[in-house]
Amino acid sequence: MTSNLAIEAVGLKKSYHDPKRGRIEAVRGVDLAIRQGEVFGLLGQNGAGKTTTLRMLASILPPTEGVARIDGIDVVADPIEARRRLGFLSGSTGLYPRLTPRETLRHFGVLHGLEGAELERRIAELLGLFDMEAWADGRCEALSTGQRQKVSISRALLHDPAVLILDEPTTGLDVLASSAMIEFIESRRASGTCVLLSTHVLSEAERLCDRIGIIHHGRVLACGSLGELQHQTGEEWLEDVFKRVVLAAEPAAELNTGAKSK
Amino acid sequence: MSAATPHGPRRRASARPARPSPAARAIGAGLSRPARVARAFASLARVELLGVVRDRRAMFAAFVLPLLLFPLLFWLGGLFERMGEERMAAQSVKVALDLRGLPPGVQDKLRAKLLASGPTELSEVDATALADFDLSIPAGEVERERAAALLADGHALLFAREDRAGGPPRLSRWSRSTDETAVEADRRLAAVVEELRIEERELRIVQALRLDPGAPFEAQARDIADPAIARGKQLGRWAPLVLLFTLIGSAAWVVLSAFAGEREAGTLETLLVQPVPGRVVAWAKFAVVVAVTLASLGANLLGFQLAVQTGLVSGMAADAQAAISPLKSLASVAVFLPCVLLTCSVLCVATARAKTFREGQNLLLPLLLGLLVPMVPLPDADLGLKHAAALLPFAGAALAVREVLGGQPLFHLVALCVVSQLAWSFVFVRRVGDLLDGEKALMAGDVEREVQARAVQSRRALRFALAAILCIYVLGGMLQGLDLAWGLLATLWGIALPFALLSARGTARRAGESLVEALGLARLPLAGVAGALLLAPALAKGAEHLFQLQQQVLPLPSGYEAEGPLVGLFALPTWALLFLVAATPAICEELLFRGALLSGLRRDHGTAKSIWISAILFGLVHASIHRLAPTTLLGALLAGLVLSSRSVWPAIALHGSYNAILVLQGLAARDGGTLAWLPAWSPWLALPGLALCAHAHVRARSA
Repeated sequence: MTSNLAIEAVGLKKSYHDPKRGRIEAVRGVDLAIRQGEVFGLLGQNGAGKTTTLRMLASILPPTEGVARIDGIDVVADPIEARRRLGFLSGSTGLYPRLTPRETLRHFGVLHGLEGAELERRIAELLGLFDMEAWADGRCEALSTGQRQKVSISRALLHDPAVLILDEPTTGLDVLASSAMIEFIESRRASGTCVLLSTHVLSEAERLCDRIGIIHHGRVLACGSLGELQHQTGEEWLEDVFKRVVLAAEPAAELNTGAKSK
Repeated sequence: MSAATPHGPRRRASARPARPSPAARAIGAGLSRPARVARAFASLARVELLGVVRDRRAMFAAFVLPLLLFPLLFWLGGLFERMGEERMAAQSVKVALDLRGLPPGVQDKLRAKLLASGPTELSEVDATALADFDLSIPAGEVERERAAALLADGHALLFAREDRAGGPPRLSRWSRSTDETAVEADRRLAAVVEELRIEERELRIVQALRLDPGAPFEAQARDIADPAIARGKQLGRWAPLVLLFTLIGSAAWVVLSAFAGEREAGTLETLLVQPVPGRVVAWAKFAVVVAVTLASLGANLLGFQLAVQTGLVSGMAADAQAAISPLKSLASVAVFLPCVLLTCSVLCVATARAKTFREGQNLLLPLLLGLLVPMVPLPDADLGLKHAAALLPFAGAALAVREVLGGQPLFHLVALCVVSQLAWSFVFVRRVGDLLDGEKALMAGDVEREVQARAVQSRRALRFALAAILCIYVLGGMLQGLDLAWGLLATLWGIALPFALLSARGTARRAGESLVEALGLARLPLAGVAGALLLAPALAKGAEHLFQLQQQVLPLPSGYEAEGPLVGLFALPTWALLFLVAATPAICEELLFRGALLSGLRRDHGTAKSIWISAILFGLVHASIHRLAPTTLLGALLAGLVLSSRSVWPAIALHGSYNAILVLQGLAARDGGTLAWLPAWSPWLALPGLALCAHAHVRARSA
């Protein structure tokens, strides 16, 4: 049954230490079950634990507790195999300024085990797909934000991953670039890739996601399609749904913090 | 192995059989894991290298600059030197003369010689006012004023005065050493006066004998040193320093670009989600750092060679005979290689946490200064540090290069240098692989700061130890000055022990333990104690060697024994001596340094850090520069013993028996003998001793 899930998280927890606030429980127990071909949005305020959760799922950070699986593969037991099935992109991702887009793609292709004609074919395909041929051989440092975004996206898609994890993909993008990003995500949905994205922009989540998980203080408080969430909370707009879920959890969360810090 | 598990051995570890996506099945299916890792390594290194090669500033700094720098540096240096010499020779000096005390003929000769020595302006003065000063004592205020008045705008004064005792007239020179022109004037005066003195003397002899006695002999000197060795020695004095400077300079940039640059560009996270272990990424970067550093070092050497070849380095004219053989050059570079590894790894480890170039540079600056300061005395020809310096990081490499360049190198010394550099670099290179671990790379800053903030127990233990050391210095020193034996007893039982108990009580209270537990006395590992006792003879032997080694570096003042003031206690009965010098320090010092301090430190710090802090403080408390290194090492050993056996008892046993052996040996030596009951093979008891200690360690771990 688990093999049907593209992303699975069971009791995922992450704590670390902050000099001023002491022990921080960034993620206090996240359970996720995301199916193949689904676009799932993780919705939360800044500091809710979105990035940490995604980093754990992408095997960048080891979880303090819990299990995470990508395409059925445990990310702690076999991170390399999990990463081969995974495309990861964050809004703050940069590019090597002194490489050209083509070299960038070639480099990451090799890291993924692609080679020779297969690699070149794949690069040509992506350069065509994102209309990048004209500037594929100039250095990345000379590119515009939108162009860089295209390079980053093609980099994440190079190995045709079954799962895409996007951490705040539209952060820092201008209007055109972010709408291109949104169109791209929709195109992935059409091609059957599972997409997990985090955002704090409600309209994006509303437009893109099959299901939405609302994360607050390191826990997923509500999870379901927009319709289900509306039904659960009795609110019509996602903004109101979000407010209601978060505010309902607030006193409990505070109680929790008090108990933990003692 | 099915198609679903292309990498069988590794994949079997995961419990769940995976259903790979079509893409995953297609990608890299034909490649074995090592081959894929090798390809990834190559690609990572290539990208890193491209980053450097395409950075014009970096290329200029690493390769073009050195080629220009050395010739330019030496050319300019030579130019200034020549200009200085010429300027001095052409310097017009004004000399005031009062030569009335000399025969007129000699006066004329002197004037003529002075005028011939360079542009000189002579003036006559009356210097009688200076006749009364005793030149064997430094010039006073009055003398200075009078001479200044006579000199007026002149630079030097030559005054011939009669000798009161009836000897030959005295020709004295007055000048100010603070005035550069006056120094030149004085130099010319001195040369002329000495030349004239010899000439006049010979003239007198000829006149007195009415014949020329002829010279008894002509003095000649020949240098039969091999010119290549001579140049090697000359080069060896400061070439290593240049090597180190350029090495650090060229490595620093690449290191920053490889690690801090990755973060600044925002590519680190991307790199960490690639299906390549972080270790491989870190090693690939490190390989490029080492390669670029080596290449840059090569460029530096080439630039230097250019400067030598073109005769720009003064005193090293292009002379085929004096050329350093390529073999020797290669050998000196070869012995320097471990240092390249060391420098690169130290810089990588030190700056890996930096988030930006700027932050990395801030980290580098103090680091480089710290590395370079100990090397300042290295060009000194008479460096007495031979063996010990060979063990130092960086300085050892410089010494090895010097030995090789200087001709007949002492093979064992060079080998020691190379091995010690390799050992040092191993310490750091080992850590390179972990530099890009996700947890550390993305969260390490937080964790580290948290540990520092949390280090309450260790800070407290440290404060107590420092206070104890201060009290022992001041109060203990005073007490031991009154009476050595009673003073020692009072210092150890009355100061060290109470501080240990107080410190441990606080630790125990915070940790909810008993005092005995906090002092490390709760467990009594018999195997560990027995093992420690067996280690003592070897330790005594080792200490003897250490003192001998140290003697070459830091000789004891004559008449000073290693046991120092303890010799004064030898008059006591043996049992009292043993109690005083063996049992008392074993108990009190162990409880203070290993019981209270070490256990406090260990609660917040890693093993190595705890051991070294406690060991250095233990070395410091002995208040002797000559005992600092041996006691620090002893402290480290005892601390290691305590941490491995999780008990202070073995350390007490070892410390006590070691001190006892030293004292009994001292007593026997005083009576002109050796310890009869301690056979020569007794150091070999350390082998079963180590086995017992290892057993105690295993027991302690399983407990």
